[in-house]
Parts: sequence; C-alpha cells; structure tokens
Amino acid sequence: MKKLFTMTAVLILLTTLIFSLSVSAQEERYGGTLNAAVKMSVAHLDTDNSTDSMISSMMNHVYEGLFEFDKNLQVQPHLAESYQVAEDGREYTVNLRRGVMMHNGQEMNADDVLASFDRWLRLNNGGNIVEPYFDSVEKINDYKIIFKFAEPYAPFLNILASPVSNQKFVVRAEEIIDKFGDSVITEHAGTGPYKVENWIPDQNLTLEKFDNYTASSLESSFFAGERTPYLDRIVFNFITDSQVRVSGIQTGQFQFAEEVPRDQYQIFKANSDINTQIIYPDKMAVLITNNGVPPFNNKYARQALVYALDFEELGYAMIGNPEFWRLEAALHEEGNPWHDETAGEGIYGVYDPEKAKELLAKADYDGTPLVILSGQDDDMERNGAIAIKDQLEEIGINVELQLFDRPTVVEKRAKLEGWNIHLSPFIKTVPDPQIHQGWTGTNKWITNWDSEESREMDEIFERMVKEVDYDERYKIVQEFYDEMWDSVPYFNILDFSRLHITRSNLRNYQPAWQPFFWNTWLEE
Amino acid sequence: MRNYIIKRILLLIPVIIIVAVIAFFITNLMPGDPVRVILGNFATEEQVLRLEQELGLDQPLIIRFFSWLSRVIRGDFGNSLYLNAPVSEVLLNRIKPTFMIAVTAEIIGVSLGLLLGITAAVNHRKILDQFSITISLFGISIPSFWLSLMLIFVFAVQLRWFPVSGFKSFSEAGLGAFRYLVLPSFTLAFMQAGLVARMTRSAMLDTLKQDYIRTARSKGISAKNVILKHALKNAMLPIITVIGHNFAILLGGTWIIETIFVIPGTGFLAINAIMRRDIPVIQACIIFVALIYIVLNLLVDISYGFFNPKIKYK
Repeated sequence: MKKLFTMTAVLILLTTLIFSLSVSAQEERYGGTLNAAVKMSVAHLDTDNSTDSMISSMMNHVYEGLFEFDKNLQVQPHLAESYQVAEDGREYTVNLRRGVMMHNGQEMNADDVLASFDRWLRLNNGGNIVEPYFDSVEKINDYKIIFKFAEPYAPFLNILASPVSNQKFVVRAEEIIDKFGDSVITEHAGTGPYKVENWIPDQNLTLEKFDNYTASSLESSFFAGERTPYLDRIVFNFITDSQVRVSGIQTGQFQFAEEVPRDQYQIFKANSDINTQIIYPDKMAVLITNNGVPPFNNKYARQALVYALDFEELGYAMIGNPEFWRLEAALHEEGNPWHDETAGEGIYGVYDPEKAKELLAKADYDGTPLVILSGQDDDMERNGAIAIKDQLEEIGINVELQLFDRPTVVEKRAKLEGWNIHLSPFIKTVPDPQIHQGWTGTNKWITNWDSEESREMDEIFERMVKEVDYDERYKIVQEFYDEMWDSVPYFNILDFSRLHITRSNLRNYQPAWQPFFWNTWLEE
Repeated sequence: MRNYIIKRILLLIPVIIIVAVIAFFITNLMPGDPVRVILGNFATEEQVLRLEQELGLDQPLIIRFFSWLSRVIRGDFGNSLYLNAPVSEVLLNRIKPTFMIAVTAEIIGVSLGLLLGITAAVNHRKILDQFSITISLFGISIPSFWLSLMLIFVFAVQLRWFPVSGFKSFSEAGLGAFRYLVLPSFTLAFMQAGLVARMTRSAMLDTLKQDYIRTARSKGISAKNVILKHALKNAMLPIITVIGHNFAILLGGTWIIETIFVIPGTGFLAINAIMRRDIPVIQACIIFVALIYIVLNLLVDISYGFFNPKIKYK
C-alpha cells in the first residue's frame, strides 16, 4: 500500500513537472513578426524635431533614455547605472552603464550622451523646458557626467525621462548627430532592443531585433528595467481607418490595433481571439479659453464657464461608456506622486447655472457670441464642442461653433483673435508638475494669458522649479492647484481612456501610455 | 492626323500653366499651417519660425510663386514638407500601386460592363435585361466605402481569402500580389461595370435599330458577328468616352478605396497631403490629375477615328 502511495506521488510529481515545463516552454517564446496597426503616419522618425508622440511611441524600441519611468511613474536609471543629486539641487552626477552596445557596433560612452544632450536641449520641447535653467555639462570620464545648473533645479530627472509627447531625452550615436546636426535624422543608431530595418513613409516602419542588445539588470516595469526582445521583427502599419484595424485583428493579420471604437467594446470582450486594453492614465479633455480677449480676459468669466457646464453630461456626450472616463479635477491622476485630492474643491463639477450667470455679469460680459474652435475629425473634440455649445445656449449664451480639420484649427488657435474656447486632448501621464509650465503662465502656449494672475502663476512655477524636497515641493503644487482653480486659465473636464485591442496570441502585453512590444512574445 | 496630335499637344502647355497657377494660389491661400502640423501640438513660436525659415515659407507669396513656377517649368516640384523627399520622387513611387489597381479594375469593370450591356440590349425587355439593369444600378448606387467594408467583412474577415488591407508589388510578392489587388480592384470595377453597362445598353439599343444591322442580319451573317462587329463597333463612341473618363478618375487616385485598403497610391498621397497641408505635394497632385485628364481625353478623341473612320482630324 505504501509502495503504491509512493509511486502515485512520484507519478503526480513527474506529471506536474512535465506539465509545468511544457507550459514554460509555451511561454516566453522567441521569434516571429508582430504586426501592429497604428492609427496615423508620421513625418519622420526624429523625436527631437517633432512633438508628435507617435514618433516616440515607435522609436522607444530603438532609443533609450538615461532614465525611464516605471509602472508607478517612478523615475529609474536606465542607461545610467547610478546617479547622485547634490544637496543644493545644482548638480546631477550620472554614472553610465558600461558595455552598452549601440546599433552602429560601438559602445555607448559619455560623448554619445553629451552630443545627444546638446541637441535635445536646443531642439526638443523637453530640452527647451530645461534650457533656461541649465548651466553646463562636464565629462569626468567616458562613463561619468555632471550636469550643472546655476540655481537648484528639481524637475531635471523627471523631464529627462518625460513620457509626454516627444520630451524624453534619448541617447543617439555621436556620429549620427555629427552627420545630421539639427536636420531631421534619417539614419538611426541607438541602444534599444530593436533597430530600424525599413521605413516606407505612409505605409509602415519595420524594426528588427538588435542581437547585441545590452539590457538593464533592473526588474522590468513598463519603460524601466530589463527589456527582452523576444520578437524578431515589429512592423508598425499605418492604418487610418479604425474598422480596418479591427478587421485586421479579427483575421490575425495584426496582433495589436491602436485606438479602436469604444462602442464595440462589448463585441471585443465577447471574442476569445481578442484582448481589450483600456489605457489609464491616458488622456484628459482640456478646455482652453482665450484669455487675451474679452470675456475670458476676466477670471470671473472663466470661473462662470466651469459653473455653466455639467461635466457628467459632457462625459456621456464626449466619450459615452463610463468605463472609459472619470471626473478628475487634478492634472495628475490618483496614484501619481503629484495628485491632489482637494484640487478644484468648491468649483470643479459644481453645476450651477445661476452662479455662472452672476459671474458673467460680474465680468461685464456683453453678450457677444462666444466662438468655440474645435477639431472635426476627433470624436471627443467634435462631440464635446457640440455638447458645450448646447449647455451654454441653455443658459442664454450665444455660441458660434467652428469645426475644422486639424491644420486649420492649429492655425486659428495660434492667433490672438477669432476664438474664445478650444477643446483639446492632453496627455494625462505627466511625471512632473513642472511640465505644466509649458502651457500655464504668462503667454504660454495658446492661452494668451497675461495678467496679474498669470504672473502669480509664473512665480509659483519659479519656486516649484527650485524646491528639491518632495514634501515642500508638494505644498507648492497644492498652491498651483489653488491658483489654477481660482484663476482658471484652462481646466480639465475629465480623464478618458483609449481602447486598444490585441490578438490573444500576443502575450505579456502591458497597457502602458505608449504601446511597447519588448518583453512580449507571440504564442504559437 | 499627325498635325492634329501635335496641335493638341501644343494646346496642353497653356492649359497646364493655368492649372499650375490656380494650384499654387489655391493651396497657399487655403487655411491651415503646414509647419504647425509637422511640429505637433505643443510647438513653440521659436520652433515654428525656425522651420518656416528652413522651408522658405517666411518669404512673400509672390516671390515664392515665381521661384516655384520657374522650378516647375523645369520639372522640379520641390520637396515634400512632410515626407522630406523630392515631390517628383514621392509621386512616381505612388503612381505604380494606383496604376496596378486602376488597370485591374478597368479590365474587370469594362469586361463585366460590356457583357451586361450587350446582354441587356440583345435581350431587350426580357428577364436578362432586367437582371443586367438591376446589377448595373447597384454598381452605380452602392457607395464604394460601404461596398469595400462589406467585401472586407465577407472575403477577408469571414472567409479569410484575401488580406484586410495592404499592398504588395509583383517584385515583392510575385503572384501573391494579386491577393492584395482583388478586393480594391473589384470594388472599383463594380462601379465601372455599372456605368459601362448602362452606356453600352443604351448605345447598342440605338445601333441595333439601324438599317445596316437589319441588312447584315438579312445577309445571313451570324448573330455573334452582327452584334460584335457591326453593332458594338458602331456603338463604341459614347462607351469609349465613358471608359476614358472613368479611367482618368481611377488613375488620378481613388482616395476612399486607397485609404480603406491602405494602398500607397496617388489618391492616398493627395488626401494625406491635404490633411497635412503638404503644399508642394498637393500642387503636384493637382497638376498630375489635370495631365491625366488631358492625355486621356486626347487618346479618346484619337480612338474615335478607329471606331468611326468617317471622322476626320484637322
């Protein structure tokens, strides 16, 4: 009996072992080509020369940052081995990882970093934020660099790794920068797990596995840590029609489809060949007022706009299914180190048309029709603009709706006259509050905001930039929210998520703010 | 005949110049800033000014016009603002897919259209006539975007016979390239067939009533010869006009089909260029389409002499 029991136990153990071996063999499979369907084409592949986030999203596979963000939006050294921040916040000493190979066959060293940094500082939107505070950079040796600032500069590492648009600082081979200078780079040599094999404008970008890739030893978490290129090739296909992207997933022609219609969510969920990926944090619907001309050159008129709008109604009109949107007053989502629960208290989401009318009267609004300028090609922008028009008209405000294609909107909103309200999607994943400085303050971006309040906001950012202690800095961020919801230069209506879908044979896909395919593999 | 062709070709020059002038001013005066499109949402004013200078867009319009015209006369359309490559090179690359699809669609459409039209005319007021009219009516009425999505759903998603989208040339995929051609070509061909069938039916009905057809029949010539040699050839003038006109539309690029099937052709290029305000590319596309219309009209006019030798060219 005992013998039988032992034999049975051994048999069970063996079976379990074989089964687990076969499962692990099925998992983490190397090889194959992944076809991703992305929604729009790009002009070129040079992130320093465009704020188009699509370029960064694809080229994240080719170029890597000194620092990268992990899943919890914590900055982690990536091409950097370690770093020290001087106590006064004026110096950042960065030690580079050794033996990191680049696509040109050479080892990455401080010269590559310095050349890339100099270009990033001059051309890149992220570099432009840092540049006014930057003093100099010193190369100690091939693997050690010191970045110096004239005054304490707190957001440096966060901006270096910024996931907003194209802002991240990435390391390119020095010889490529010498060859192209400020012009658009058309030959690429980075340190990423994939290298550019072929780019056919308006059709596709093919990336090929980089055999000599030198991975980070940190634990993998979104953009930070170890990246393993399981796939031999990644092809980004530019497919503008969302239904074609969906059909491609249904047939297995694509394994990833970006931004598919949310109204088909239930259909996708019912299909065992399809996995749905709701991205959060992802985007926010931001209402921007033209603060340079009446009536929104007066803060009471801007406050009135917040009270005049029923945000929940707008959520259903703009996005629809509430699984894809949520009300949020803060510019940083819950869980983000810079989130503030108390942001917008007493004004955000308080639908009070009577108070709105009082505030408009206080602002001496003369009844001139308000012009809403918005894009007609994006559902959120178009439906949102129409719903805002309806809600404002309900309380007796005359509204003129101007819907145009994107180039026309971009041109018109850059002017001082001709528009009052503009609706635009912003990236929610903002790792440092300083990044908001790019569009918040005196005459920043398109707000035409130039008043006592805008200068107060400038002053808040000036203090925020210098404060290196997190707790102290957080207090300044709370001041920023107080000022923002008092003077309301623009405001977040709600947060919303895009819906991506993947074919079920694509394994280990992580729904990050920008899609990436290292550490993913294709099941047979 | 030769003098006529030379005269017509010479007449092309002022037409093209007028089209070029209109193309330049329309594209430069339409709203939308290409520089801000290239630079993305959060470009600073400094970045905008820098790129404007690089692209020469900071010059006065009239100076840009004369410099552009002198280059266009030499066949240089400049560089694409968005694709960062010479426009002529970009356009040449895009002609091939459009040409392959246009020719395939034209062959299928004309064959099907002639078959339906002749069948309808020969079986006038019979069931086959009604059938042909119904099919051709569908061809004209069904919007191409709907038909293409239906074809994708049935033949790509359900049956998996063809790919959902994409394009491969014969040099890339050999005979496999046909798989990518079938759905877009058939979508376009269906509309072509409808137009050709209706025109063929009406022209054939007129011709079949003529005395010479009755004479041919009474001489004992076979029905097939009467229809194909005597009736069809004489009915071809209006049909060839429709075919020529539609072929010009196809060669100019059918942006809906090219967008849905992601075919990198001239229509796809033109619509993307408009969306991005890639002005040099839009200008070249307008001139290219005008040129296609003019050349195909000339070919249609010349072909009239073949179908009706009584036509003399002066």
